[in-house]
Amino acid sequence: MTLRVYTWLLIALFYAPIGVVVALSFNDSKLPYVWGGFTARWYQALVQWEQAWGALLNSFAIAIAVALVATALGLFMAYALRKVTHLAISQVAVVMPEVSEALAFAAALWLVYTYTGVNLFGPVGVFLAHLAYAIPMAHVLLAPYVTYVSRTVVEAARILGASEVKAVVYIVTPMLMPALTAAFLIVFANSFDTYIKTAFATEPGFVTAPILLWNYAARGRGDPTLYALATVMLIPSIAAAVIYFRAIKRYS
Amino acid sequence: MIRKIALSTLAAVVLLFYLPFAAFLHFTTGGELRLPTAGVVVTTLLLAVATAALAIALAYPAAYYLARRGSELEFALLVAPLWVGTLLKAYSLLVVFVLVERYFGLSLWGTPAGVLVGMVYEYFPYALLTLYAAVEKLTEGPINAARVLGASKMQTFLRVELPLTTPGVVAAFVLIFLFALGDVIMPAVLGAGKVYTFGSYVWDLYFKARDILSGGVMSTALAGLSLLATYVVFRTVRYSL
Repeated sequence: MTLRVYTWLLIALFYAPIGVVVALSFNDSKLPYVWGGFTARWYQALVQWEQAWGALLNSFAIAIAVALVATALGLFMAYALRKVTHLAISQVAVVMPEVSEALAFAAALWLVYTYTGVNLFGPVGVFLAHLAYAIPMAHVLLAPYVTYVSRTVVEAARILGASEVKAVVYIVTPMLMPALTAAFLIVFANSFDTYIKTAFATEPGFVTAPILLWNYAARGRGDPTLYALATVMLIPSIAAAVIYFRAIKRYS
Repeated sequence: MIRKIALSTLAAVVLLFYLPFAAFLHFTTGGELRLPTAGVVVTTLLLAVATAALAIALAYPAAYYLARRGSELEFALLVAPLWVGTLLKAYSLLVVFVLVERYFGLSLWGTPAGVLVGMVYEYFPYALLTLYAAVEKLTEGPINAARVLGASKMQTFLRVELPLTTPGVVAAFVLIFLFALGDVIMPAVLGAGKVYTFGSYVWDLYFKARDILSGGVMSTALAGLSLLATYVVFRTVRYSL
């Protein structure tokens, strides 16, 4: 009983800061400690703030592209590389410290620039940096479900004459739809609000939502429009969490 | 064909993640390596140890409860913060810190304690998941044996269950310790530039000093440590549970 109370207390504690920001984004007062009534005007201000729109759209475009490519490649990897060692490489890549991995991309982009003269810093660099992290993540997420499906069913399809590509497209993909959706959403949410990898791979002209939030918020500025921006940025994470837990239920 | 695509993707991942090793070549031919000061290293280590210890202490009772009697909803609610971006968490805490200072007169922004709160907030779900796996795999046998032989519930926990879940605790500690070593966002946002860690140092090497080679060596050292630790974690989790 005490443990149950403790657990719920922790849950409350962990959601409180996010709840405070969401609540303050509807607060009709510029000061965070004064409640001035309910308002939507900070959202109107956000809509009128063109830079914020651009940043949110940039984040959205990058995240969609990264999630699509990473889920497809992650599925291929989970299907073709079933050996434990292959999965271990992906697992190691996923737990890499964030600065290390971000700096690795920066170094890679920098080498490309020095030796070929092609400047990839900007949207392309951000896309590649997110992708390089998202692929191992999708691989790790999908691997258990692919092994669960592929053993007997794929064998059957192959014996009945389906090519490997056909087996993946017509058999594995439909069966794995819930897991694929879950992986897609997690990768999407992760790419949407990652800051460090973006910061290392971008150029000043290309701003995403986390970069914008950092530029204004990291100095301790408490503008309610930023609370509204932060609340909007929460949506992909919440959607991902809800759909993920629904999707994995189907397999248990 | 699928195998070819998969293999080249894997090769690209390996190449990218291990590319900074190439920076070592530069320093073997006489480049100047900029090391962080001892103070930075000590601050980082202390913060990382405190984060790991606190996160585990907080997560253990919850993981124990979840593994024994918890519902799916409780599990989902505790793990879901994993998907909220670090920057968003840091920013919400920053707002909370303003409120805390106003109502309790406790100033957390720009102090190591504030950074510690932020890092525990961020890494708690990892502690919970690892400990949950450890507690869930405990079988009823040894616990029932202890109870039948007259141990109280507390004694059973301290002398049977806790020792049996030690590998999980070690794994969680190593994992969080490493994450905390490389953290950049929490020290920058909640530490307000006054709490300077290893992550901030690598960050500044890249963005201020533009010394990507020294940064590469530093981050490789960090990544090497994490490779070693991940190996230890997987070994303990796989064999002793």
